[in-house]
Amino acid sequence: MNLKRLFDIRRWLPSRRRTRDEIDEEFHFHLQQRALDSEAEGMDPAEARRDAEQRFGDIRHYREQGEKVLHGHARRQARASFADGLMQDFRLAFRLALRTPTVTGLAILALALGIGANTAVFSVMEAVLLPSFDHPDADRMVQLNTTGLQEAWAQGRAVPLSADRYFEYRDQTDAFEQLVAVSFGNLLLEGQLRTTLSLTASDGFLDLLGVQPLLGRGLSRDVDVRRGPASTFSPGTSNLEMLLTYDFWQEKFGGDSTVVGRTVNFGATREGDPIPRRIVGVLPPGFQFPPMRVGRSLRTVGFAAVLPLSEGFWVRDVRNYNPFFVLGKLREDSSLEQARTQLEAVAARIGAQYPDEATIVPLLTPIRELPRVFYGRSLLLLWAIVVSVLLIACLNVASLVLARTAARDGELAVRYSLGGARRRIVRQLVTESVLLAAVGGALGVALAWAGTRAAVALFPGSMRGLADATINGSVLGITVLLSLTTVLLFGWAPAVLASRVNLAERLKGISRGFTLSSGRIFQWLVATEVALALVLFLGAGLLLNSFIRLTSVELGFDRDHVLAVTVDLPRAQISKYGTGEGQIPVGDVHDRLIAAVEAIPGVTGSSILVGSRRAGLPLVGRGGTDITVEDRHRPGVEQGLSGFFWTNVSPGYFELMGIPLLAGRTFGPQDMSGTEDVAVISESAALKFWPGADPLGKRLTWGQQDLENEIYDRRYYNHRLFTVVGVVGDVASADLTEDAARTVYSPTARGYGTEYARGGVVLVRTSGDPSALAGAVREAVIGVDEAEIEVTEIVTMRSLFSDVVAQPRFYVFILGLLAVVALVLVLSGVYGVLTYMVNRRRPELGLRMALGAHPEAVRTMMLRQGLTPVALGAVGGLALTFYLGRFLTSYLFDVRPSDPLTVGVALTLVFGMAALACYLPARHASAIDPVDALRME
Amino acid sequence: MPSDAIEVLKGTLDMMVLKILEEEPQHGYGITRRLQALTDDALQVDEGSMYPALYRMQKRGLIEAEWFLTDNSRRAKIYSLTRAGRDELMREAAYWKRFSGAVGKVMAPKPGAIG
Repeated sequence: MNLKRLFDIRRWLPSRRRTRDEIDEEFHFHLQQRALDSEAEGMDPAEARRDAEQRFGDIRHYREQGEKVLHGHARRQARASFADGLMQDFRLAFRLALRTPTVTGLAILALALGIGANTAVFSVMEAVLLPSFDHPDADRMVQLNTTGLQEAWAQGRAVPLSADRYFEYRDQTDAFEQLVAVSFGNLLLEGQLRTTLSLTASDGFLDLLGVQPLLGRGLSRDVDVRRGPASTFSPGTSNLEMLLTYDFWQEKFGGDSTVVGRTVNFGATREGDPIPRRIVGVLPPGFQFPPMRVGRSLRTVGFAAVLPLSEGFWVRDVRNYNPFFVLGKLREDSSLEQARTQLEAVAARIGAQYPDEATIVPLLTPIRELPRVFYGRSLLLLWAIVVSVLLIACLNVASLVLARTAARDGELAVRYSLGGARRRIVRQLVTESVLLAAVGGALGVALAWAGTRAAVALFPGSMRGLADATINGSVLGITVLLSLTTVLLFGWAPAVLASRVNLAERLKGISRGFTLSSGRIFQWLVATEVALALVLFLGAGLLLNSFIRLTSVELGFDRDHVLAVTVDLPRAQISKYGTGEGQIPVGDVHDRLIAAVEAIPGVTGSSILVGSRRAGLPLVGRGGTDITVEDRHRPGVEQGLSGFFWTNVSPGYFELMGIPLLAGRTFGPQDMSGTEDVAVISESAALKFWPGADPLGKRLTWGQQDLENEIYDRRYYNHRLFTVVGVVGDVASADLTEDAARTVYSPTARGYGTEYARGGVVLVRTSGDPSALAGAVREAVIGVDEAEIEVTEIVTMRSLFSDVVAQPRFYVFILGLLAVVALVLVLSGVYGVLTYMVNRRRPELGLRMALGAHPEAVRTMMLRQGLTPVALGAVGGLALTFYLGRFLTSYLFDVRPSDPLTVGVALTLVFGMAALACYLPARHASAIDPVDALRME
Repeated sequence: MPSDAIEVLKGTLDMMVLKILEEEPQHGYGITRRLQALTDDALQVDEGSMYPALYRMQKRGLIEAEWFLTDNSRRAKIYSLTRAGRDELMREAAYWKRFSGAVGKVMAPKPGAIG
């Protein structure tokens, strides 16, 4: 190919023009050559030209003929070039989209919402519910718990293991490559005031995870804690070792590699005694610990350092103390079933030896199945919801695409009859679908991204894991694929149908539309959409209703005008305050804190609560204390109660919190001497302890104590008996939907454990907005002893409450959002389809009106046509909701699935909106000008 | 134009063009000249009618066209025979041979007929 040809501008002109130019040039060349030849033979130039023209014949005629032949040829050549043809198809498709803006726009909206909303919701929920854990051996990893303990609070629940039981399971089975016990504790680094979380792990811990230390080595093998003397733990002896996590190493030691092998002082005892400990290694960065069942949640626990299990002096001989989370890795050649059989055999042997433990059975759960165990139904529900919305979106897209294609069957029939190639026309229709799918899909992906970001921004810090939410690729893929398949399928099928249509009939007007003439398929699509949307809408309504009830739960205290200030003291060894010689009693700090806060203008009262961290404060934590009451052995066991709260409060606490006194008295200054041990109990605790009897004057104590035989729970350092002097109202616990917190209150007096406390919660009642005083309160609190007192948190009781309802609020928001999306989809579907039907029936409607039909009647007819499938769908949706009601109940609080108000509102909304969506096209129908409509025909 | 020129039989023009192109690729005018030379100007054809015929054959894929520069630096559209064209020519030529032979037999003067 020569360059001149390549750069010939004419080649780039539109083909028709180019063809003409080429013909002209060719003819011109011919005429000129002929004239030149004649001239060469002696003819004079003018005559030669005339002669040439005469010989050539009618130039215009031949040019036209040539053009006709050649242009067709050029077009075919162009079409052979795929890109050219595609561009043409897309141009056409684009023009069509502009010509049918409503239907096209609605279809794109449906696609975008279906893909975007679903993906965003699923991604967000996944981040919130499922801790991530990637490990090559994750499939073989299991968590071992036990269940069926005598203690009622553990019945049916999975509980961790005691040390003895762990060793029994580990040593008497061989199905596991590793079986590792871990527990969590606080670690206090020398020179550091606050503790960090540490992990105590048995050996094999690193092998379990297949991890090599970044620096140094792993922990030495366990000393057998069952036989070693308890004093192996005493300070000064130690081969005590420690592994640091990468982050902690960076943070505390600045990534100094010489730290490995060095001995530093750490505290790990309850008193925080310093213990020399050797750092033997550093874990690699990005070290990931598997998610575990911890209490009632599934989570990945973070920690700063790993200590060997051998140090747990408290683990021996206490068969009913269960601090160990056990993780295992199955041997490659053994199955879960084998492992279970072996464990059960061990359990049976233990049961024979210790009859108390005969009911305890091992519970082995693969790590991969933990999410299902925890959120099985919720995940299923989430999937069902997402699939429903996706289905609605697909049905919607299907009906709109179908309507769009159906509206063109006239055009298609004409094209076929003019000899349009069947394949060519089908391709055109598919191209249109592709364009639709591409635009909708792109918008959907954008929406998914924006939605996920928005959720993270909307609920900052309120949900664990939310901040890490990223788009779930596979869900995005599935939704995109499904939506696009729908578009292509429903774009392509009518095209094929159209190509089979009886042309003669179609052109004669006998057959309107291909097989879609009755519009029945649209009615089914709409009805299904409405049914699904109603279920979602009802579900969301019920959840919202529950939420409203939840937030108006009787809290049992006055949440307004109260500030809760959590204060922290340094560990006893380096503090001025403590029980040691020369140390100031902690109680004095409490008094001074109260006095300092009460001196602030605007503060009307102050009290202090001392528990483990904030436990015991309303709305915080769950009770875990066992209580023994006089004359009744271990009430918890007998009555199937969960744990109790035991909280120490200073006088004035009940008055300040607005907790009502029901019987007897509250604490006064006289109770602070500790001469008489008194307690105030909550109403529900009283009911559980002494049902039907007067609790006043009765006595109780903490722990599981055998008072008659004087056998005491060794976890409690003394066994005072407290006399009940008062009964107060219940306060709500962290889980609002559960029973109120059963609480035992004792004064903050010396001797009740508070003297060892390293902190507490100062409660401050204010006359105005409590948060306005937060700064002043903080200053006053720290001002008591700037060197030692730290304020770790200041919250209003009101914000504590909104934290508690953050999770349900989040779920209501998510489901509500999806329900609204579903509703919008359905409405757009109803509107789009009815608009299409009105357009189709234009000539017929025109004829009716020309024959005297009242516009009103036409409007009613179209309305009826639009609303019939909506009504059908609504009935179906209601039936489905009631059928699913059982399933929903566990997600509802104080609302039945058939709640008439919710059902009524949902029905009215869905139906009302659908009626509105139908009204617009129906009105349009009644405004048809008969003359116009008939002329069209 | 000679008054005794013969009207071209339908379809035979195409065949003749293919035959000429078999010798060598040519532009339209060249084909015309060659045709006239070979038939001693006996055929009565508008020279312009050559072009729709060429375009038709191009469309049928019997010949292909490309622009080239001629000796005196003018652009000329040169036609050449394609594979399909060569096959078509063979078929047409064979047919023509049979056809003209048959017609020739009929038209040949019989002995003794003049008489």
